[in-house]
Amino acid sequence: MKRATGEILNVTELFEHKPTKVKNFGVFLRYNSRSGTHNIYKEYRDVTRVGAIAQMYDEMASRHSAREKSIHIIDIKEIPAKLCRRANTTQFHDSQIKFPLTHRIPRNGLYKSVFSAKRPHTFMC
Amino acid sequence: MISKFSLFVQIGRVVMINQGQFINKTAVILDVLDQNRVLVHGPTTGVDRHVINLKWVSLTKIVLPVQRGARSASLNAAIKKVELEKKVAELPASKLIAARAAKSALCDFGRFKLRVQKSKLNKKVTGLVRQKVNEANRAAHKKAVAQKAKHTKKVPKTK
Repeated sequence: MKRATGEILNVTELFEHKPTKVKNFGVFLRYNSRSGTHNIYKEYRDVTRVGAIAQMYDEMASRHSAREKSIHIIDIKEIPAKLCRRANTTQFHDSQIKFPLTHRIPRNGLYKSVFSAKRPHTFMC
Repeated sequence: MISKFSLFVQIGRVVMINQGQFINKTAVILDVLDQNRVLVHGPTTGVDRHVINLKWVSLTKIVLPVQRGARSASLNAAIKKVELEKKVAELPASKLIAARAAKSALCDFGRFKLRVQKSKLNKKVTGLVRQKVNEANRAAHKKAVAQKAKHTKKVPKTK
């Protein structure tokens, strides 16, 4: 928030009751785009509300070119799985979830140097 | 469709952590946040229950029968039941880590001894390879000579 649009009245750090449990968060927010003001609802999966909001700021900046100063968080709620609406959230609601990592880039050891005699193996089955 | 993949991100998969505070330790995947991040816990290896990026881990072939978001007690029980430590020690990644640790713990004289041993071994290997190559060459030469003799015998001499 810009200094011209508001004033900080209170600062409270949010501590999570269960910071090791994966939860779904629904975020209601209002933001000013280049052409107008929009109310939107977004969902995130995270272990903390703070993490979910951080994800939200990143996503708003990337998808909507909205910076922090133009975003106004209306509400954030932890929501049960059955009330989740977004496919990107519900696709991970599966206790039998299973997917491979298709393209792996080794980041340590052999490939630390700029030049290497061996090509890296990026496909790990 | 038949998948070529055999290692999957799934609940109970044991992972080796390659970066950060818990480097070279194993942990178990207990929940999947999204395609990049998972919740891991390694009660026996000293890895706190925390969220980790999949870029920081490598998957191992071990999978534990645990439920999503399993608590420490049931996770510990599952680890005990399959004797995870033994299985982890047999992993190629663990062996590599152990070998690296042993090498870095060597003193100057130890490194010298290693060098001597290595050069001895290399000489032995080169000798053996050379021997085999020579044998093969000799055999090939013999064969060629024999064939040539056979060939020349068959052709009748013409005046």
